[in-house]
Amino acid sequence: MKYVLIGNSVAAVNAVAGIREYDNEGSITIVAAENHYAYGRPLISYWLEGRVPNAAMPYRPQEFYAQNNASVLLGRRAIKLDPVAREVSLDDGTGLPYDRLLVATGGRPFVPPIKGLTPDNYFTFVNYDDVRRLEAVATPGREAVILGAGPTGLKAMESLVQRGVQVTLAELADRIWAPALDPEAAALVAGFLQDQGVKLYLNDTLASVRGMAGGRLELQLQSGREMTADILVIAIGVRPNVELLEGLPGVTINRGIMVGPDLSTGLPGVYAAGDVVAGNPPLLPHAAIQGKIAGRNMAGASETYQPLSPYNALGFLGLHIISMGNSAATGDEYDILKEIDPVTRIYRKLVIKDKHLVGALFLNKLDRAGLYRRLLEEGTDVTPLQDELLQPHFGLLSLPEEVWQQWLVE
Amino acid sequence: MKKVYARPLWCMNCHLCEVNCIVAHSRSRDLFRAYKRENLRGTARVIVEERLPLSVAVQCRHCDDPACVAGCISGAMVKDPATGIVYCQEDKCVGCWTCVAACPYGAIQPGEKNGRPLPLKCDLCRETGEPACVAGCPNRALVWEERRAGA
Repeated sequence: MKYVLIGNSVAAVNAVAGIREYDNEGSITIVAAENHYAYGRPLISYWLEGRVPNAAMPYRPQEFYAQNNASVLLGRRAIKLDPVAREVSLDDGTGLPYDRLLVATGGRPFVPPIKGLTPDNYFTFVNYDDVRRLEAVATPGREAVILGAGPTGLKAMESLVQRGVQVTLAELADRIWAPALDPEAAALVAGFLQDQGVKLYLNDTLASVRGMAGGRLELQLQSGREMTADILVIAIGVRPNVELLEGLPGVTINRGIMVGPDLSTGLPGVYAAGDVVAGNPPLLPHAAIQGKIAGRNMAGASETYQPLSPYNALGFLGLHIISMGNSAATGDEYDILKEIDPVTRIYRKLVIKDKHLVGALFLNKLDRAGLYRRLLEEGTDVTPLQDELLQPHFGLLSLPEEVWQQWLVE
Repeated sequence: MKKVYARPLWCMNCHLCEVNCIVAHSRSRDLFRAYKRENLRGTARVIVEERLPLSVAVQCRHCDDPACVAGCISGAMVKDPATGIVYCQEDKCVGCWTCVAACPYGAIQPGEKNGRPLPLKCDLCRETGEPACVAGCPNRALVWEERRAGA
């Protein structure tokens, strides 16, 4: 069996492990567009800060590839797929025949058309090479404007602040990280950023850029506000890299690649996993789990991917957030339990709908967060637990006895 | 694989498992030094839950498909294919706490050691052989044994 994996990030690496659980013989070839072995993308901000050295970037040790008998073609792109001949063509002209193919091409930063924007006057914040470029210019005293105050923009902000750069965040929504934070939580975070000397402009975005003498940029926001900066970072989201499968009969593309419950794409022997998959939140845990399951299925298993609610842990400048499910929910259709301490910026919120936990948000107090995620994923009726859920001692023993007895022997 | 199983009916709520866990994960392997010199108080990797008269020591279940390993952004959290032990390569951890959000038992707590992030989770004392919580449990409320799944 010949396995070809397009992409060399978290989904592909987990697919290698998944394949090898079932098949120790088949050949595995990984086509990696970047010139780096797989690294956890979220590490790039830690690298820029100097908290993670080059040597600690790899997601798996170098031996991983040899141990799993996987060869990696670094700096190569797959440009064409022939599903009938079952062959992928690479940008250097080589053709790779496959029996099973994984499309794990991930996403790329979305850069909107903005007047005056040219490839050399802005940065994105997704790849190792992005931060390598940023490192050269992010020196103390410089000024940066980051477009987008979601997780990527916030991590970019943190690493630049730690390098002594003065940061301004511009966010089109009315609050920071709107999909995860409700207005109250977002206000707590905004207050924290203000205390850290970070400027924040909400309900606003970039209208135009103009390079000035000396390399500085003149930026105009939609509101008419004008500012100058040395560095512009665009961090407003990613778009799936679907080109390889575009236009092929049998494949449905709806922003991402549509997959069946076994992560197959509709083309014989072709699977997809990670950020490229339609409807999949572009989050690392989801990519890892999908990659593992796709790998197993490529090697003959018949496992189903159970869609997983989004969950995220995000820390910056000492503030920690965990969000899961519909964490930003507000409104009368929900029962919302809350604990708030504005001084320590502790905020804990549970969102209940029709007896079920559908969202949770934790700022600066993350105790037993995973336990809530399990209740959410399993659709447990939390009505009998309502009074217990946010108590400091909440734990397994708060659950019905038959439940915790079972969990203890798992 | 051999795992630690808690037997709540035998638990006396003495918290010795937490103390022994901390000592076993200290440099000195000495209670006084671990608490007073190495500043490891509060870094137990087992959580004694109390709902008196009931109490129970909760710790990592070393899952077959660990959510913490899947969620780890740096590759620090791994499952040893030979032993099945799920553990954190502490020098690779950046303290994002995705593992804390991932664990279906809430058995990973965010911690810190010498200014570095440290996910507090059971590693079955992989470096010493026998889990210290079990060895020191005065009433066999914790046992370390091989059981069939679901047994």
